[in-house]
Amino acid sequence: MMIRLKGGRVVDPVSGATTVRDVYLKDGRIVAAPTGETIDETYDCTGKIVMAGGVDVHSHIAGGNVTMSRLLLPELHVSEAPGAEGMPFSTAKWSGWEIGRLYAEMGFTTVVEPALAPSQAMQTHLELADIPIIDRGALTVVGNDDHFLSLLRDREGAAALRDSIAWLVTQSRGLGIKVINAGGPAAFHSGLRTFDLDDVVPHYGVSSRQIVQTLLTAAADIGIPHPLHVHANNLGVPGAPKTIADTIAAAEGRPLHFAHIQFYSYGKDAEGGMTSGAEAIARSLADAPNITCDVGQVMFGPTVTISLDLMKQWQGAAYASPKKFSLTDGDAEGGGVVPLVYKKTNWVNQLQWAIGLELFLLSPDPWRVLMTTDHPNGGSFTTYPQIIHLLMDRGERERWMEKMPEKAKERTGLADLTREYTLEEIAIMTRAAPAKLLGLFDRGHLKEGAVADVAVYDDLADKSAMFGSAALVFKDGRLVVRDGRALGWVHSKTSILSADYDSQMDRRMGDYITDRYGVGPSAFSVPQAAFGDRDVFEAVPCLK
Amino acid sequence: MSHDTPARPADPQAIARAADILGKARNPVIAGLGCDVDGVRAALQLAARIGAAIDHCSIAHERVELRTLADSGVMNTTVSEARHRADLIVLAGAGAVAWADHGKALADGGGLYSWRGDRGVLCLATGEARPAHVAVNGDVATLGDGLPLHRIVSLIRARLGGRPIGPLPSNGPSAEAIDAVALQMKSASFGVIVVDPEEVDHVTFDAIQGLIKDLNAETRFTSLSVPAKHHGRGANLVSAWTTGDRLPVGMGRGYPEQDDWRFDAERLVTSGEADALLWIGVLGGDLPAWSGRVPTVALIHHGAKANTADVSVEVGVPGVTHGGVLTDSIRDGFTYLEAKSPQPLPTVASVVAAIEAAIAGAAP
Repeated sequence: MMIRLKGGRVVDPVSGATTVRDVYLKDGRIVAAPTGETIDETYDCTGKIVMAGGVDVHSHIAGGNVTMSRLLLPELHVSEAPGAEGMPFSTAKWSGWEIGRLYAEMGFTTVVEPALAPSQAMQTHLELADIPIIDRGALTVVGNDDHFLSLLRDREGAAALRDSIAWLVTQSRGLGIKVINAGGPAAFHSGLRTFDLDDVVPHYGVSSRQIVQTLLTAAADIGIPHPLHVHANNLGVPGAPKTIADTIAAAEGRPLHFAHIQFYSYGKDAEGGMTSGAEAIARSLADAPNITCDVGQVMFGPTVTISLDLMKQWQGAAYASPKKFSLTDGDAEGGGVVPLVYKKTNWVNQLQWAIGLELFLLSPDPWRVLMTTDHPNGGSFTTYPQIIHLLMDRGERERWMEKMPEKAKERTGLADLTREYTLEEIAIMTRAAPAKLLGLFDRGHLKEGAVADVAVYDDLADKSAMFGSAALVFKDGRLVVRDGRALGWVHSKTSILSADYDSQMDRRMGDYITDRYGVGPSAFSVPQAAFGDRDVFEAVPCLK
Repeated sequence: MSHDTPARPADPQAIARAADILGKARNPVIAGLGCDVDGVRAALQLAARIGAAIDHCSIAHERVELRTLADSGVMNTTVSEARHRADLIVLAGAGAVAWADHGKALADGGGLYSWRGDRGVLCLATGEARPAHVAVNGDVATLGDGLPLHRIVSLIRARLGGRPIGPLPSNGPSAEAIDAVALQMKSASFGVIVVDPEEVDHVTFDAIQGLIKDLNAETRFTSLSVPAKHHGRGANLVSAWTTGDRLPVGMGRGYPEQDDWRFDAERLVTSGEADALLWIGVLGGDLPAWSGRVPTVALIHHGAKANTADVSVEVGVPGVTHGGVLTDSIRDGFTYLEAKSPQPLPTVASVVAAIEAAIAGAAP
């Protein structure tokens, strides 16, 4: 079926300058203007903005710790309204069904869960498969498990290390790899409460730096398209910009992606108090074109922090609001869930908010500084439209800053930043860049042959309203949202890598798993049969 | 739906009768829910369709363990992590001893962490019960055989915090013995308290979690709950990501509501509020006696004893007659189990989906 999106202003920097033109969709793909072929459906997009569907590189939408947050905090998500006919659970708050609907209604069509623990891979994929409308993916968490640390301790060769990571990515059906406070969770199991880049994991004799560098090598050897996704040491610690600079140096020019860098952008004044470290981070980024990051913007209100960084979550538990938390000492990391309220009346929270915006506005390149809230850690993904508004409208920022406590104002340079993002920069930051970074080269843009994931917005001055409620959204060429409301349930795919590794690794990992758990490695696999008739996975090639 | 061999469709007449009972009910209940992930998914979809309340028969897992999580949070670990890493296993209550001996999951001390050192075992308020199949270096320590668990936990917490304790009962431990146990726990590098939610109330469970949080000020301690029966863990997790909430959940208003009292299956049926029951007992438990008060549809496993349901549908067992996803209690994760002896019996998911389709087809 040939679909014509007629007369919209197409904002797609990958294909060229913004122009008013038609976009054509056929059989789930973007196609060239047909010659002589019948147009089956036409949607009048006159006066509207046409973009590729949004892509989110880091949002905690599925897995054991996400569900732990559901169980920990029923009072934060009481459902109160029936959903539309034929869309069960669409208004069930914090459900996977609601996540899919809310993302789609904002024009997002691909979202990546950044914490796929290999020992819990099946649950993550079961949950992802139950998120409707959008495509999904997940990053396999590596680097803190006993098997990997033992290989490093025993000075195994690069091939064994590479193959062990390739095995984990493939078995867990990840789209990339992520390391969380490299070595920190393992050290926390042994009683340590802080961990820096050159600290050594007890009993393994392996430093955080060594773990990161080994993983960088393995990622390159395997040909994983997404750079190593790094949740660095010292999250939330004033002075962490130095940790970021040191980690950039440790990368030695190789591609590396920092997750939620806002939480590391805290400087120190003479008394050790927290100040904005955004300028230092921006300088580090400007000097290192191999580095990308997502921001992890803080937005105000109650939320919950979900992390495999056990050490950080134990420290954060003292600030839990409401006063409860969960901490799971799992195999490798486990996870911690700590509820928080970011208050407008709290100068530290206001400063965090301002630092996030500073990072966006000081960004050297929209291809390298991406929009996230580290959902839900900095705030919900549903605040993206507000963030876009703040970035595109200096006046909106000034209105928000009127309520900022002086103590926060004097510690951030936000008021002096006059930059306003363009629609083209928004399109890069929320579409083209994350797609490219994930190796999902067939999306994030509207070039011929791309997946027909398209978002059409009313061209409004109020960007919160504009991006909060897409006029039309097409997923794989099918209309799924109209006037900001999802039209029904469709089920999309989970993108996965399939990495090659020496078959000896099957035996080695099998032996290890049997020793550790008393069950065979099949207990950890995520076979298609687990999803029955549902065709869930879509393979993405490695670069090698 | 997960099955390795083509499933035989359920008897169409039974499906039609089941759809009639459930479709015309004003306040139906889905209970038991002992089935695989696909079965739970299908049951939740049916609950949404007919506005049913839905619950699992593993009451203690929900009303003790998961309630405490929501009330004040928990610190926990997996069986395999406890086996390898714990240098002190604390068996709290006789149920913990029974579980450890039955599954023998801690029968060897593991071997992954060569630095762990000796493994101690401590029994708290276990009556006369002592573990026969838990690896230990040296003797099993005990405290409070004659006292209830909540009393012992409170005494240890008080002494750990340096607080005074009142007069001790004559059949209980001495203050010195309590202090010795507090010191033993504080001296552990990674201690794990094992408790069976089936034999404690939520207040005791919460106190144990409080003790663990206190201990973490100076060392590492965590907990391990005896796994829920009849796949209660898995059912509640599926409910959480599908509805946002653990079980029981009511769908009568067109959106999920969680309430332990309003949607308690037994209460709904015995009070007369419910007017139809779908019992799913393929992994257990058995159809309860109270089910006889309302028209009942039961999905039972092949070979189950005859029961009193108005409509019974024989279904296959996940991991036995067909493949299915269940939780693995050793590592607290979901696992796909292939059929051990495939038979073309229908799955719970297929039967529930057929009932839902029949109800939808009959809707005006």
